[in-house]
Amino acid sequence: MIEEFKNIINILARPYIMFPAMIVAFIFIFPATDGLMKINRRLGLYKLWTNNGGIAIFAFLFLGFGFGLTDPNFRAIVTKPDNVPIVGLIFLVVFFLWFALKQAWENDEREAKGLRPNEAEDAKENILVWPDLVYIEFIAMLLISALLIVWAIVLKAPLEQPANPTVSPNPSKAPWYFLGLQEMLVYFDPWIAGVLFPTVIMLGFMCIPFIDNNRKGLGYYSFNSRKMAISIFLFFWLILWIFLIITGTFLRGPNWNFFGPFEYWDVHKLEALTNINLSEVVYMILLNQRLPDNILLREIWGILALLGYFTLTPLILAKTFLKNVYNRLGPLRYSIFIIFMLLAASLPIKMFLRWIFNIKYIVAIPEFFLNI
Amino acid sequence: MSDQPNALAKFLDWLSKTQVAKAIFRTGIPKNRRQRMTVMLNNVFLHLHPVRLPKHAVKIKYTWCMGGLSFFVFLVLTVTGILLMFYYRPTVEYAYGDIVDLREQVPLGIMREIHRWGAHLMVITVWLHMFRVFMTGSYKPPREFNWIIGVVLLVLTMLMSFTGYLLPWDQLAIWAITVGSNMAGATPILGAAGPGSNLLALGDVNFVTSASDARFAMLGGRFVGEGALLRFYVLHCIGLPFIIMIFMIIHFWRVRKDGGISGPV
Amino acid sequence: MGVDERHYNIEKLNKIFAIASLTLLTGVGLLFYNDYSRKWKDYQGEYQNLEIEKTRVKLDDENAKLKDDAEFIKLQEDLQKAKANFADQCSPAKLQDIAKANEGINSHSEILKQQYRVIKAQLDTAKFHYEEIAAKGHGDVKVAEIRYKSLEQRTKQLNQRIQNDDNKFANNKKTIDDCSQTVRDLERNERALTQKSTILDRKLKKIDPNEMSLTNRIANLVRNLPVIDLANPTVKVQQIVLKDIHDDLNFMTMPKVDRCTTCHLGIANPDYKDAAQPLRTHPNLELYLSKDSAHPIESFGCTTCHEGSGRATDFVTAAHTPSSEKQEHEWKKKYNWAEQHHWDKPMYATPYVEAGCFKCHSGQTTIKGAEKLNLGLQLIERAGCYACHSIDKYKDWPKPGPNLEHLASKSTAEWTYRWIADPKSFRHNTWMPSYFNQSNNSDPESKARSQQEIHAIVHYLFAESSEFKMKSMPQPGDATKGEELVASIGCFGCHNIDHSQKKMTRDRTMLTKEQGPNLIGFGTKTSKIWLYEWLKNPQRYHPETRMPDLRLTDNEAADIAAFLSKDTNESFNNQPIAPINDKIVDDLVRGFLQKSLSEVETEAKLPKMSRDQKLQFAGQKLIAQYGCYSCHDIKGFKGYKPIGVDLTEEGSKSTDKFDFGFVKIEHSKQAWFTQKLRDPRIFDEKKIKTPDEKLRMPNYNFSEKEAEAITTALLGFVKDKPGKSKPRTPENLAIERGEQIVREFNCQGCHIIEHEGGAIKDSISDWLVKYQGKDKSEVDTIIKTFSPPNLNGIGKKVQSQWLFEFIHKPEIVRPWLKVRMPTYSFNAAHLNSLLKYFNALDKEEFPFTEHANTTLTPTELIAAQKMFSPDYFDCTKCHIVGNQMPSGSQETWAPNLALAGKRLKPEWVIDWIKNPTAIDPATKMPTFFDPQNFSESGPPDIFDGDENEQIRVLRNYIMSISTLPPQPISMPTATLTTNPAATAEQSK
Repeated sequence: MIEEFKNIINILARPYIMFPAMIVAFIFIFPATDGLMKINRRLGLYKLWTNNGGIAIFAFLFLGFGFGLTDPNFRAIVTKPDNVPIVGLIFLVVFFLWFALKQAWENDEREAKGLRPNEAEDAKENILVWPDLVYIEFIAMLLISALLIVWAIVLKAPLEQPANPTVSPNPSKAPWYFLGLQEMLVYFDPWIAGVLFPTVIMLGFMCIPFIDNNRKGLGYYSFNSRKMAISIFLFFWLILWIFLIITGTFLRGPNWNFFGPFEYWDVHKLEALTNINLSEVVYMILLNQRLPDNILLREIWGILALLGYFTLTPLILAKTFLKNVYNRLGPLRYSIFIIFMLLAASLPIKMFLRWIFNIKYIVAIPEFFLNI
Repeated sequence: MSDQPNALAKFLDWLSKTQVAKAIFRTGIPKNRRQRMTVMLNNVFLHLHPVRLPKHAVKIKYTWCMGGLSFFVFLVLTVTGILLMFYYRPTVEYAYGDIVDLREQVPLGIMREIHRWGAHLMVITVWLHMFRVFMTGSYKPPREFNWIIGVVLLVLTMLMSFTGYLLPWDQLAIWAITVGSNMAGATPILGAAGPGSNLLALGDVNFVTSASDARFAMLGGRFVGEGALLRFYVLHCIGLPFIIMIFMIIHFWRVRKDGGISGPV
Repeated sequence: MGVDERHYNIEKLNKIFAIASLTLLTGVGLLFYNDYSRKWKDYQGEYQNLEIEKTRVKLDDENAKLKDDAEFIKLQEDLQKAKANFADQCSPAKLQDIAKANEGINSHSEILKQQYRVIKAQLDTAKFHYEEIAAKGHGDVKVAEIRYKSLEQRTKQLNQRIQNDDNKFANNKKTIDDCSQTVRDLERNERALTQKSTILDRKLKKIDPNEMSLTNRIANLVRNLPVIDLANPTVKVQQIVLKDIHDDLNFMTMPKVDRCTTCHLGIANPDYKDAAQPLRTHPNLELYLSKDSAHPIESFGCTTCHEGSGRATDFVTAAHTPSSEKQEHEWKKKYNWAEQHHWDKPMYATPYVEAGCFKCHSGQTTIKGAEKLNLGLQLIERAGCYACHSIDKYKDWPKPGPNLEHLASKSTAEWTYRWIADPKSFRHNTWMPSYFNQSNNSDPESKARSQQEIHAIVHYLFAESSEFKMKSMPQPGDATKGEELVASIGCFGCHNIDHSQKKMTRDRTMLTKEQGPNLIGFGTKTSKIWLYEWLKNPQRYHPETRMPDLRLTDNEAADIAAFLSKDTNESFNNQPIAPINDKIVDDLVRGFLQKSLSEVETEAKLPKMSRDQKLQFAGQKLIAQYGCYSCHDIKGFKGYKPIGVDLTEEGSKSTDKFDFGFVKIEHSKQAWFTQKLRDPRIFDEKKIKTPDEKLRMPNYNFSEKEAEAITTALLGFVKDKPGKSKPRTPENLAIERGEQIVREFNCQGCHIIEHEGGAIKDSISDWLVKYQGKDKSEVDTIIKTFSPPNLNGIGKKVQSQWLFEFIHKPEIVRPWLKVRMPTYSFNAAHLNSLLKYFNALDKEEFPFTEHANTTLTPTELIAAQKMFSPDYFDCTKCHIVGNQMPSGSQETWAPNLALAGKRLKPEWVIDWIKNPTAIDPATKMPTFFDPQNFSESGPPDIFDGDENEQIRVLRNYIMSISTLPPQPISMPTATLTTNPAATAEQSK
C-alpha cells in the first residue's frame, strides 16, 4: 500500500504537474487583486495565517518529512550533509512566511476596524538601547554560536575524491543556492539562464523601491495595503527561486533526469527528450516543408512572436487588466515594471511550451550561439 | 538583600574607581539614564546602535534580528576562515591533503565544519533579512538606496560562498564550480560560447576566444585548474571580504542615517 | 522614564541569557571533547601499558641472567676487593691534603695567568711600535727596542713559573688517580656488563608511573590534557613522510604521508607478535619494515603496498576493507564501519593483500613472499589470458594455442566439432576454455544456434587448412618401447598422463607439468603418422611451438607415436553431432551480412551462396567474433587486434566502470573479478541481448583458489609506477629477462633454478622403480644422479662460451642420464639473455673473464698424475675421462673430465675440489680435503703437504686433459692457451 502511495507522490511531484498546481494555489493563497481577495476570504484561506493555521502547516511539514525519512531513497538525499541546509531553509522560509503574514493579517484586521497597526502603538514610545536591545542581541549571538557548534559536531563536512577533471560525477550540481539557475538551464540557453536572468533579477530587486510608489505599508506588516507588491515578490522568491532550488536538489538525479522523491537515482534511466524548435514546428509540421536556408526567413516567426510579446502585450495590458496599475505608476515606471514582469513570466511560459508542445527554442540561431 | 552592600559589590565598586578601570571604561556600569546613554556613545562598537529607538524596533517579532545575525555569522566566518588559512595551502598538490589533515590530525580541525555550515547559514539569514525588510515595506523612501546596498551585499555573499566552495578541491568542488563557470562562458559578446562572440573582432582577428573570454578571466584558464584555485582563494580570503566590509559600513551607516529601524509613519 | 524602567522583564532575560550561555558553554565543551577524544589515543594508552609490562619482564630476566652469570659474580668480588684496598691504601686523609695542595697551586697559577695576559698585551703593542719605528725610521728606535726586549724577558719568566705550577698540579692529580685506577677499570667493565639492564631500567623510569618521581607522574598526566597536549604529549599522531613515493592525484602527485602507525604502534616491534590488533607486529619482519629488510618502514610506509588512505587517523576513514561478510558485520558493530565511497583506492582485503607487490615487482616472474600472486601470474601465463587481453608484462609472449593452419592433417572434422563443443569432455584438465553451453547461451534456441556456429567454424578451419606432407613411418613402432622411452627421456618434465578425470586445484609445481597437454586420447585425436612427424620436427607443423626437438631417432619416434596413439577415448567419439540446419545457417549469414549491407542487398546475395560458401563465410566471421585467432594461428587472420579489454591498468579502474548488471554481489572490484572468473557470462543474466551482443569470454572452470589468485593479480595491475624505490640496475633487468625465458620455456620443469622446479624427479623415480628394477627405499639416494642437474650456482661453475654452445646444441656430459637435454629453437638473443641471467644470479663478470694459467711444469705434472692415480684420489674410479668409462656401477659415475677444460670455470674447480659439499650439499663427490683442519688434510708427500698447491696443480691437470687417456710421465700436453706471459714467467 505504501508503495502505491509513494508512486502517486512520485508522479504528482513531476514538474509539469507540481508547477501548475503551485501557481494556482499561489494565486489564491496570496491574492494580488481585490477580486482574488474575495475568493480567498470565501475559501477561508486567510485562516492559514492564524496560530492554528501555523500549527496545521508545520504539522503537515513534519509529517511529510517524517514519512519521507522512512524511505531509503528519500533519506539518502535528505541526509546528505550538504542538503541539510536546504531542509533547514524550507522549514525557516515557511515559518517566517507564516510569521510575517500572521502579523500582516492582524494589522489588516485592525485597519479594517479603523485602528492603527500594532507597531504604531509601540512606535510612539522610545526606549533606551542599553540594555534591552544589546542584551537580546548578545543572547542571539550565543544561541547562534551554540547552534553552529552543535551542527558542526553532529554533521561532518562532505569531502569527496580528490578533484579529477576527467571524471565528471553524474549528476554534477552547482552549489545549492545556484540550483535555481541550473534548473532554468533545462529550459533556457546558458546565456539567458546563466547571465541575462541573474542580472535581470539583481536589477529587478534594485528597482523595487523605485517602481513601487505605494506610500502605504511602510514600517509595519500588512498585506491588504500592498497586495500586488507582496504577491509579485513572493511569486518570484517562493516559486521561481526556492521551489526551483528544491526541485534542483531533491528531484534532479543523474543526467539531470527527473526523479520522484522516493525514486532510486538509476543512472540508466532513459527519458524520451525529443524537443523541437518553433521554426521546425512552423515549417515542418504546419507547412510540411523543409526549413529554409536563410536564417532570417527561418526564424522570422520566432522573432515576431518575441517582438509581439515585448511590445504588444504591455500596450494591451495597460489598456485592459493593468489599467489602474498604469495610472498609478505612470508610463516610465509602468514600462520598466512590465518589462521585468514579462521577463519573469517567460520562465513559466517556456516551461509550459516545453511540457505541452515539446518546444525548445522560440528563436534558434545556433550559428551565432543565439537561442531564445 | 541586606542593605549593606556585600564584599563583592564593594570590591567591584572599588575596582571601577581605580585609575586603570577609569582609563579604560569611560562610563562605568550605567546606573542612571544619562549613563545608559553615554555608555552607548562612548563605546566604538556599541555606537553602531542609536542611543534610543522606538519600542516596536526592539521586538524580535518585528525585526527577527536577521540583519544582526548575518553580521555576526559573517564575523564567525572571518575568525574561523583565518584559523583555516593557517593550515590550508591553495595549490593543487596540497589543497586536498590539507583538508584531509584538518579532519584527521589538526587540533580543532572542526573549525572547517563551523566555517562551512556558517557559510550556508549566512546565505539563509541574508535571504530572510531581505524577506523581512520587504515584508515591512522598509525599502520605501527614504531607504531605497540602502535596499540597493542590501541587494549588492546579497550578491557578494553568494559570490563569497561560490568562491569558497572550490577551495577543498574535491570532486564536489571542482564540478560545482565547472557548472557555475560554464554559464560565464555563455555571456553575450564577452563569452566564447555566448551570442555575438565574434562581434568583438577586427578583420578576422577574433578577440573573444575560448582562451580570452569572460570564463577564462574568471578561471584563469580554459578549465577549472590551478589558476582557478588560486584566483578563487585570493577572492575568497581578501578581495570579496574587503568589498563586503565597505558595503556593510555604508549599509549600517545608511540604516542609522535613514532613520533607524523603519516604523509606521 | 525611570532609571530602571525597561522594556523587557530583566529577570526573564537573565534566565534566557543564563540558559543561552550554558548551552554555548556545553557546546564549546562538546567541541573540545569531540576534537580531543580520538580512538587512536586509547590504542596508544594500551600500547604504553603493554610496553611497560614488557620492559619490566625484560628487565627482570636481564637481572636474573646477570645474577647467575659467573663472569659477573667474579667481577663483583674483585670490585669489592679493589674498593677495600682503595680505602686503606689511599686513605681519604692522605688524599685530602694532596687535594688541598692542588687547590692552592691552582689558584696561584690563575693569578700568574692573569698577569701574563696583561704583560702579553703590552708586549704586543711594544712590538708594534718597535716595528713601526724601525720600519718608518722616525722616533727613537733604541728606547722602543729596550722596552720590547724587557717586556719579552718578563713574559718568558712568567711563562716558566706557570708551567712548573701546572706540572706540580698534574703530579699530585696523578698520584690520586693511580690509587683509584684499578677501581675505575673494574667499574667500567661492570658498566659494560650491565649495560643492557641499565638501558632498560632508564627506559622504565621514563614510562612506568610507579618508577617515576612524583613530579614526573603529575607531569605525565598534565602533558596529555586537552589544550596542553599541543606542547609535548606522550600521546600524539605518528606519521611517516615518504621521500620519493607520492600519491597519484589525477595528473598531480601529493606527498605521501602515512599515519597508520598512530594506531598500529607495534607494527615494526618484534615483541608484539601476539598482541591484539591494531598493535600486532607485521608478519615476517625480516622481509618487511625492519631496518635491514628489503622494505624498511621509513622509506616505504604502509599504503605503498596496502593502499587505503594513509593520512587518516581513524579506522573508518582509513578505508579498511573487510575480507568476509562476517568480518564486515563485526566491524559495523565494533567501529561502525562504513565503506568509503569517496576514496578511490580502498585497502586490499587480506586475501588479496599480495596484489600490492605487483606495482614494483611487475618485471619479476616469481616474487619472494607473494605465493598467491605468483600462482595468479602463472595461471594467467598458462591460461593465455594475455592473448585476448593485452597485458604489458606479457606483450611479446607467443600464442598459447596450437597452430591450426594445417588442422586437416592432424585431426578429423568430427573430432574438432566435439572438441570445440566441449573440450573438457575429451581432456578434463585441458587449458582450452569452453565457449558453448554457458550461462548465456544454454537456452534451446541458442543451443541450436551454437551447434551450427561450431559447424561453420570447423568448416572454415578445414577449408583453409593448407597441405602438410607426411612421409611414411619406417616401422609401425613398438608401444611398450615407446612407453619406456616416454618415461625415460624427459617428456614428463612438461607433460603428464592422467586419466583420473579428477578436477584438482592446480598449485605452481603442477602448473610446470602442464606446459604441454595431458598425453591422453591421442588415438582418437590424431593419426600415428602425424604424431611421428610432430615428434621428429615440431617446428615444421607449428613454427612458434615451445615443444623442443628431443633428437629422436626414427625408430624412437615411431615407438612413442605407437604408444601415444594406443590410448583412445571412445565415449568422446560417440557424442552426437547435430546435423547442419540450413535455416539457422541462413540466419547466421544474414546476421553477418546485415552488418555491412542493407536489407535488400542481403536478401539478394543470400540465395546465390552455396551451403559451403555460407558455412565458410559464417565460420570466418565467428572466428573473428569469438577471437579464436588470438590464441591460435589461423589462416586469414594475420594482424587482427585481440578482442579482450586491456588489463594492464585494470586494478586502477574505478568500481563504477564495471557493469554489475542485475547480479547481486558485493559492489567491489574483487567481487566482480571473482564472479567473472567463475562464470564469465553471468553479467548477461536477465538482459535482453541479440546473439552478437552477448558476452563472449570463454569459461576456464577455475577453482575458487585459482580465481582468488588471479583476482589478486588483477587487483595488482595498477597504473602508478614504482618510482626510484625499485633499483633498475642492469643485473636486476638481466635476471628479470632470464626468469621470463625460463618460465616461458618451462626449464624449471626439469631443472632446479633459483631453488625452484625439478618436478620431473617423481616421474624419474617411477621410471627407476618400473624399468631399472630399483626398489623404493634405494631410489631416494640415487634419484639425484639420474635427474637433470640442479642449476643453482651454474653461473659460477660453467664457462659462458661452453654454455652458449651447449644450450644451442647439447652435447653429452652425463652419458648415464637417460633424460635428454632437448634442442630448443633459441635465437642468439634468448641465449645471451640466459647467459646474462645465470651470471647475474651468481654476480659473475660477463661476458669476458681473463684466462687462468693452467700450465704445468714437468714436476707438477708428475705430482698431478700421482694424485690422479688410484693410490691417491683415484679420480678415474667415478669420473669418465675422455672415452674411458669408470669401473664402478652407473649410480657412482661422474661427468667426463675431458670436457672440464672447455666447460668449467677455473676458480670454481678449485673451490669444488677444496670442499664440494659447500657448493652442492647433495653431491656424491667425496671431500678429499677435510675443511675443519684444512692445513693437514692433503697428502703430506706431495709438495710437502701444501694443500693449495696440490689443488692448483690438480686443477691445472684436469683442465688440460684432452680426450686422450692420461699418459704416464711425458712432456706436458698442450696447455689450454699458450699465453706468452705465463710461459715466460714459468721459464724464469
